[in-house]
Amino acid sequence: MNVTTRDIDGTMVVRVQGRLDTATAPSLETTCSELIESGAKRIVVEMAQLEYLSSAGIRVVLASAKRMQAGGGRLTVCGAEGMVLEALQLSGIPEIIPVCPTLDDALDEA
Amino acid sequence: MTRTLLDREWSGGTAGDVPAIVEQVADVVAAAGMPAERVLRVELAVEEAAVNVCKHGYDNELGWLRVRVWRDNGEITVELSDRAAEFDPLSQDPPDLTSDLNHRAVGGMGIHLIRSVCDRVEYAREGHHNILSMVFEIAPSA
Repeated sequence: MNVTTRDIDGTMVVRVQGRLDTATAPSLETTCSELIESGAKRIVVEMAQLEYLSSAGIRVVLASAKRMQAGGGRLTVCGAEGMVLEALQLSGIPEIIPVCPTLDDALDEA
Repeated sequence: MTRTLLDREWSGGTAGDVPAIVEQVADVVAAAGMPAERVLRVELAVEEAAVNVCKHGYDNELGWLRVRVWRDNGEITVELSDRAAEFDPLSQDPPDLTSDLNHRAVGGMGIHLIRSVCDRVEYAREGHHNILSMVFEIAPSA
């Protein structure tokens, strides 16, 4: 899995590519933790190029969203399709974290 | 007619070996003709089940695990057997999917995902083994 971060007008966009599973989730956790600790107020996790997502990745997204909310910030997800979107939906994520179709939608939302 | 697609044992590994197990199952299931998007759901179920064995059975190690995959007409069965203490994952309470972000538990989703993506799932305790059988139709039913 690849994790890359870029700053778009103050929103930290974290792009995950490949497979977000039990082996790779710690890498996303590290990235999100560093962003939160450095004071990021808006994080978008971009999943358009994510092929596979398991509960280990969902756990990181959920835990990071909780930390963001506790600090007055916000985490948003975008671009999920197919199996990745299905895993988010089965886990009840769209009811508590904004899940946007595109990055543009997420940037508006964020 | 039943045809075995994979029968392998792992022991002495760690939870880090789970992706390799998932990959082997995915390869044989794809070769059996399952569409790619459905194979990903099999991968999800196998990962969640194997991680669960490591967490609940072997204190985050892999311990001993046997993975068998077979095809029976239009169905694929993936069976995981372990020698850990008796643990029926299907007896666990379903996760709370209604509370708000603040109160939502971050874990406990694995079994729920397994139940959701499998067409059938069964648990049995046989001798000293926990046996989890997950059944998937190769093609979506009409």
